[in-house]
Amino acid sequence: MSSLNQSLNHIQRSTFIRAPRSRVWRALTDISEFCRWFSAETDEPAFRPGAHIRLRSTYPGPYYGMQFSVDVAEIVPEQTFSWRWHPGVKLAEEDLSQEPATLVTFRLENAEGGTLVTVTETGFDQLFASRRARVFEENDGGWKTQMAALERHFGETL
Amino acid sequence: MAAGRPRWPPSNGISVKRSDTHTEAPSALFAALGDPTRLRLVIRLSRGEPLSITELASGTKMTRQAVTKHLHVLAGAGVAAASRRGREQRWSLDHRQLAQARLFLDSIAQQWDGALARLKAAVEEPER
Repeated sequence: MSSLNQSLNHIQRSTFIRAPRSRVWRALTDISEFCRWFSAETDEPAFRPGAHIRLRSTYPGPYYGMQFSVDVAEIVPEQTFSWRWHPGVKLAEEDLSQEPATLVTFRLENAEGGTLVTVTETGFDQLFASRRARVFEENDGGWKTQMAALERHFGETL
Repeated sequence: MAAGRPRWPPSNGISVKRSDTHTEAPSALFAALGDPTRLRLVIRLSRGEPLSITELASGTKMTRQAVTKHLHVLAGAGVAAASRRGREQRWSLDHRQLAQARLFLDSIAQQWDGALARLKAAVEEPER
């Protein structure tokens, strides 16, 4: 079950970027540069630890203009940039204060000819606590099918 | 329930068809499950056998009224559903919710793929 537990708490994605670490760091943490590739806009001048940053999505599609916010957690120059937020689509009238936030962390590493960027999002285990702890372990056929689907899914993607 | 809300999941190519109820935003699901009492009800129902409110309340400190209230929250999030057998109402889980939770994670992972691809493109393009 450990890989399933792990996979339910955790999304991780990496990409290699053909550019020096300092350049990638700037794209990540300079707020106007960040907004350009993340497809968002904000009135805030800068990311800084502890800041509550409100943003609006500029990603084309039905959620264009959707408001969201990130609470900056940690900024370790050229190493780690992290924030907490409520993942997924946020509806204007929804109160998310009762919902656990997830932690998004970007990490930079040197790699041959460039920089490896890894983003992880953790904290889904709180959202899925019941199922992870108990329900997933039931041998009920329906759940078993779902678990197999989950294992397959994360086996492929992690 | 939630008429007029945008459909979840977002428009990343995944769609979840529900024939009977609206597809709720995932936060409704998580909020519904974010309460220890409701989690306990979900765990009891997860054994598969539909249970009455009396059965769900037995062996707990909860009143039937409290159980009813929590079941209605779960029903609102699409996690549980009631069916009637004669005069008795019995509750069971809607397992499709778990599939939706999986799709939710999947859609978030896909959004990160997209974001990282845009970051890579933005950084690798010659600076102007």
